[in-house]
Amino acid sequence: MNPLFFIFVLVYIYLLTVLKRAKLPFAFFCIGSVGMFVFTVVLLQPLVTVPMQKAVAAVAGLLGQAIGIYQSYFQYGILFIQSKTETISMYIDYECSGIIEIVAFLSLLWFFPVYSTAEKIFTSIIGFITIFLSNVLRIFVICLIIFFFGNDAFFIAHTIIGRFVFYFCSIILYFFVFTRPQVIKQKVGRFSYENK
Amino acid sequence: MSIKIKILLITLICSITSFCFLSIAPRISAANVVTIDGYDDDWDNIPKTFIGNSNNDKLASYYGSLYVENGVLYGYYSTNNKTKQMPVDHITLKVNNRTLQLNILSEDNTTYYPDGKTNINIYYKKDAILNSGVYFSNMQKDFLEFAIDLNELSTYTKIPAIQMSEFSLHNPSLGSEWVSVAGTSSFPYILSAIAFIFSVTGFFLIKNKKVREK
Repeated sequence: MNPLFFIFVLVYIYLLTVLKRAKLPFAFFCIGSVGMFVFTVVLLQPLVTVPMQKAVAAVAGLLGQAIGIYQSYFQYGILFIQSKTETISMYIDYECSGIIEIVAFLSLLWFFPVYSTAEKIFTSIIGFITIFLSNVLRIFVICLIIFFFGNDAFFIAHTIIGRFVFYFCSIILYFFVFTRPQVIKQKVGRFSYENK
Repeated sequence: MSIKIKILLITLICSITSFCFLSIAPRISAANVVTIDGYDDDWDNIPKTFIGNSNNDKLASYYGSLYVENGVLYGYYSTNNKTKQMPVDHITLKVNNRTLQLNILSEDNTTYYPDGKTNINIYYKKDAILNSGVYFSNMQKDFLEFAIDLNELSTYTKIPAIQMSEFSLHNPSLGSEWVSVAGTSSFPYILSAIAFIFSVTGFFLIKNKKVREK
């Protein structure tokens, strides 16, 4: 581990205290969440990537084996799809394990100035599960398309449909966590969206 | 919870995580699943593609497999049983949409040994060696295993190693089937940016609310 990393962490923490004292909440939120994201990714990547790959492959494999369209070799983070004429191995790597999305969500959440600590813990758990399952759903959809339409459909399945499914589920989560509560609590004069 | 306690907590968490990582890191094994050593038992649990011949004769068929780990593409071809030798003098490798014709030769660059263990080189064009491998043949089976460094491969494909997401391998001497392996990156940084936009929107909604309340 580079000792420079620790210096950056210390500078980061000091910067946060300065921003807090200077009452610059937006800068505190931005630098806090981005810094936490970068440091967490650097720290956790070697530790959690392999377990996440295996977990995603195992859960996605359960779905595939339940309907018999692909097999999971979760020890190696591989899903093996055997259609009528072709086969393809899909490997779950760092970028498709969902770890980056989860860390980004948690970093933003923990610096988001709305929720109490208990609410943040609860929302973190819900967010983690939602992003994880959305990623599993994305992989399942990709495998399903490849199984029925062959390897030629991989590009469309992976680049367009799979990502659309994942982004759609994640954006719903972001909306409910970051934006909707604020819209509901908005008051314009005596008018409010909030139910009383 | 006051800000001082929060910062203290963050500092504490960062320090504990860092020290945990430092103490655990040297023990994390980066051992590869596959090693190119002339033994193919490490391929046992990796999924294989059945490669049939034109008569669909399962006795005269082969298995092929691809595996990606730590920036290296591993390839494997094996006979189903000892009915005939396995010709592996050239293969076609497709990386994303780029196709490379690769030649396999023994290390002395002139002959191809059908018996026993032979170290081989994989060539792209005449002098470009793309790493090495082992061809093995005995009375029970023939197999070929090789490894190609993706950074090395990117010098010929002009595709950065990080962008290589789909690999397919074909040996026309064995059958028509392609052996394929693909990654499924979700473009996580785009989604992280979307999350940031949503949270910033939420942040300004809160700010507006506080301004109105004042």
